[in-house]
Amino acid sequence: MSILQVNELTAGYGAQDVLFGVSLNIDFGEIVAVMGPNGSGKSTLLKVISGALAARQGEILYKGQSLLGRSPQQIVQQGLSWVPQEENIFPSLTVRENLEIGAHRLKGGLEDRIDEVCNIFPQLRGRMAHTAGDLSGGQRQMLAVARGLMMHPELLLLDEPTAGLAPNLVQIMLEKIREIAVRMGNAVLLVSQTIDSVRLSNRGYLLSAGRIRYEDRTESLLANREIKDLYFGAQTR
Amino acid sequence: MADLLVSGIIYGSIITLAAIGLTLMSDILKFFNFAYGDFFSLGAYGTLLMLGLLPKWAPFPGLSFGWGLILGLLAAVVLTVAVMLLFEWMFFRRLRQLGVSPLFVSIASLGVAFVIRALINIAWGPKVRYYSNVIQISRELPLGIRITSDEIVILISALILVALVYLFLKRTRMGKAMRAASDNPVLAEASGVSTRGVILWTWGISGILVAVAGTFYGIEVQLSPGMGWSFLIAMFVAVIMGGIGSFWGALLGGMTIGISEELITGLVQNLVNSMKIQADISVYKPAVAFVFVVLILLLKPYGIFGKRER
Repeated sequence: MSILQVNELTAGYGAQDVLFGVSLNIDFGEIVAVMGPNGSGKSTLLKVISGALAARQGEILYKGQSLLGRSPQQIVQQGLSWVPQEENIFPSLTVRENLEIGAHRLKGGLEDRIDEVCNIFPQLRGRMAHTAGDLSGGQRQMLAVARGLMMHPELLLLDEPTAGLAPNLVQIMLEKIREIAVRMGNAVLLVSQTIDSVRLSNRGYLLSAGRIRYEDRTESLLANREIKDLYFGAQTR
Repeated sequence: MADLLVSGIIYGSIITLAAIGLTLMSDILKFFNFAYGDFFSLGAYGTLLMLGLLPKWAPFPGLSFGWGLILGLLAAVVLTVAVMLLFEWMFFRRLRQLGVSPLFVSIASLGVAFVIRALINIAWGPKVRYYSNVIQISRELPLGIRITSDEIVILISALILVALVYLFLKRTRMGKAMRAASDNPVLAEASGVSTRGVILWTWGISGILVAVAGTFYGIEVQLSPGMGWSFLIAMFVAVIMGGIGSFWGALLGGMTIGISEELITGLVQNLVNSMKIQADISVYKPAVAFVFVVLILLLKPYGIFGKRER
């Protein structure tokens, strides 16, 4: 059964549509990658699902219930958490305060949840009182994902979680994402342009100019020479 | 000199109270509320209104006011917050929903300022008013410092209120949500923070601070329908100097402006007096604030503790 079903979704900014009839689905506990070139609408797709941007047409069903017309607060309370690519932390708040805001709608068990999240990202444990804006790029990204986990989400929307990270940190972050999916049973919708991130997923969608062009199991997608050369050319050489 | 410094600290504490509310409002609501000065007047006149309605209590020993002013101030705080929330509900909320740009919302707030000032003028007239006719005798302290008991109460109360706001922002769930919304409103909303709640709390806290500041100014100086409009410059300079959205910036900015205005105009007044020239230099206090804002904007365009605009 799908945790998320997106049907014929159209959305955009101002007079301009960015997504044109996008359909996809994610099963419980599954990692699904959405790949595609810059400007293809990947981040817009996550914004619409999380409620940060209104859909113009189509349907978004989360565990069978429509998300359309719901506020971002209602959506996060339902168990769906979005981690944007940029501006994904509160820089003037401490690390702990960032986690507390991530758990703003949590009813009890805050300390336990912080502890659980810090078990996944132990690097954050000793930095609780640090101002988030002073963290390094890798630590910020970990904090961003940790904040996204605070509400016990069943579906995590991650927008380019490894963008701008040093190669060693990319591997660590990918391991963490796998751990989140396996250990915590979260489904993950992962937007990415890197082949390593895509390899982490069970299935993948290729988004180009706001339309889904291909959909397949990850190994089949990556075995497709045309796709591999077109979208991950430099990364596979 | 020390006397001027103490006067500046008292004046600065009143500016600081109001500036903390204004910096929260400017940062979270994303517009410059030019009506804020007139809400300052509304707070002061609200206390005057309540003083007239409440029984006449004797002043506390050594002070110019008694229970009447304290209860009147509490009622004026409620009145000011209620009027601010009414304008938010009737006016500012709709402008936000229509997607009106912050610049136009700021200009629209000028209209609200004129409405409030006109109502105060209609109700009380342009004449200067006082809460009390009791003449306060200043205490003589070392270094030629003179301070009244009213001023000591104003200073201590302002410090307590500033500390309470700090603790609210730092320790409470809503305070943290307000800081988060100030940092990144989209992410705050996506984390489950209610933007509506944050906005209402911002109006509420700013209303409390500005009503208390207006009443303190009324105790210390006098009441006139244009008092808030004149005071608005000092508040804005404090906010811009400290950096929009910065609690510590508003505190530093408020105290710096208060002390500078008192010191500079006081010293120039002494100079003018010694030259036997008849002139009231205190009317040039806003000029001091303007010089500060120009210097700060040239040297630190985002203020001392300000965030660079994204």
